[in-house]
Amino acid sequence: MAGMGNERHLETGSLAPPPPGKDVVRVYGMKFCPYVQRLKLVLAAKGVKHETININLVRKPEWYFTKNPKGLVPTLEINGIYIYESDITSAYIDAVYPGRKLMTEDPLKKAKEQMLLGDHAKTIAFYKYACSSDPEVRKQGSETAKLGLGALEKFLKQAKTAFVCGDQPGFTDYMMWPHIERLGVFLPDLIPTFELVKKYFDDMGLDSAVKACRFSNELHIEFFNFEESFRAGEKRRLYDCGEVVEYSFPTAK
Amino acid sequence: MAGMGYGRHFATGSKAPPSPKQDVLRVYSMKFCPFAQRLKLVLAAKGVKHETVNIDLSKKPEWYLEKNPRGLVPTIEINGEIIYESDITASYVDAVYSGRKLTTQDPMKKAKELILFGDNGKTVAGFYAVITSPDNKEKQAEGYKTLNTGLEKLDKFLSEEKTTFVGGEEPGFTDYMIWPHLERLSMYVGYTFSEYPNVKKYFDNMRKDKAVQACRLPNELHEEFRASLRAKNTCYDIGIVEEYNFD
Ligand SMILES: N[C@@H](CCC(=O)N[C@@H](CS)C(=O)NCC(=O)O)C(=O)O
Ligand SMILES: N[C@@H](CCC(=O)N[C@@H](CS)C(=O)NCC(=O)O)C(=O)O
Repeated sequence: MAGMGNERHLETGSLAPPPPGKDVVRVYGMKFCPYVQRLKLVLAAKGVKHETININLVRKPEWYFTKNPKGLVPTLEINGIYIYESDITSAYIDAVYPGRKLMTEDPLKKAKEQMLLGDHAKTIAFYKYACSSDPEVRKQGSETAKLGLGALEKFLKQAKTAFVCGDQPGFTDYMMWPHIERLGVFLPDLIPTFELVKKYFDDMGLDSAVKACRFSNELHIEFFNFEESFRAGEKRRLYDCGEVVEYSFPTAK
Repeated sequence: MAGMGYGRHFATGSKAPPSPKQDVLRVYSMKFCPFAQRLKLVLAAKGVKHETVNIDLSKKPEWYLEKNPRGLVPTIEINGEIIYESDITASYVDAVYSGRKLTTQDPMKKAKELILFGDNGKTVAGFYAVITSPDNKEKQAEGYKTLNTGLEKLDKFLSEEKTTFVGGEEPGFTDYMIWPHLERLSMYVGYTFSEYPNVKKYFDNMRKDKAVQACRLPNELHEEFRASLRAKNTCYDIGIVEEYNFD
């Protein structure tokens, strides 16, 4: 399993990579992006082979906008077709590739999971606050995250299953995990205040896709500290943090 | 076809209606709500029988927040289960009820439609910016700019797919999700879509659709509703008003 991909982040002025081979799944990503991680988790859980090209998001290569006009990651490229947005790319992969079907076929269950994913936006919002140096703002972030985790706690209680999707992690679990992983790193005291969420957090940690796509707390913090200094105006950002893999094609003009 | 539903809007202090009978689909709605209209369009296109309970959104009944903690419409209730959010409820209805399948089964087409639906968020946001700031030229201009980025994507989609509707040769799920705000753009601000020839043609074709016609309320009624909103005395029960009969 390829995990998050340690490929070097290509930046402004780099050469566009040659198109992927026939039927090859290519992911444009950023190593620490939680939205890319959603897609990577789905790929890992299904065992879908793919290649990764990482993008430096503060110095985006000019050619990247021809792949995704929004300039965000993740983007999928397959046989000349581009798809973007983490949930849309993930659903596409789940529908098209063999392996375990991650999305439930039960319309009622699906609707409930989608509503939960709506509530999860509150958990996601914590990340914005967490980047603030103002303790008041950080506290606000933790209050917002509490609402999101509260919804998850309630869902797990009613569903009576270990995971949101059942007895195995499924589509919605993989959509939610990346921000929960980061919550565990940056607000470690919050998760244990929810009994079922705590158990869920630990159980998810045992999943092989989660393991394959997870970073150590230290690496998360190393990246985050750079991000914070970036926000503070230092104009640098360490995407190539940790292990770095070079491409087999030329990237410099 | 039931259209938007004429039932009186339940307000604060009202007694909760009895639960819907076995297998009866109930929609909590508001007659002029574009999000409720998305769901109503899907119900109409499929011919799904349902009952409507309208909610006074300026004076929400206490019991409604127990159904939907977000306090928004639409919500559906069936056999004790509650679902809310327009796209989620509509998608549930499309999956569960017989009649024409409105959502495409082709994963690539579905992905493209979902991206377009995301871009439609700009049309919706721009629309609200325009109608909520009648006296603020700057905000208006910004609103139009935002909604034009959304319409541009729709125009491009239609020209690339070369189909009459987003869903193909018949209106499909995504068409019914984006229609209510397009209808209001025309009705509320007289938008003509003249800069977007594909959207203009699309708009005219959508207007002829049976479900669209069934869920359309007269312009004058919308006008009256909006005037009451502006006067901060929102009147939902205008035009035809029906009383409930729950047995
Ligand atoms: N709605 C998008 C969000 C993706 C996103 O925000 N990715 C971030 C990196 S974590 C990004 O590309 N940022 C670049 C930018 O904002 O220009 C999705 O779900 O894929
Ligand atoms: N995201 C919701 C939005 C629904 C919505 O905003 N409905 C409005 C009426 S048009 C509402 O319920 N407003 C009540 C309120 O904001 O308190 C959906 O798609 O269903």
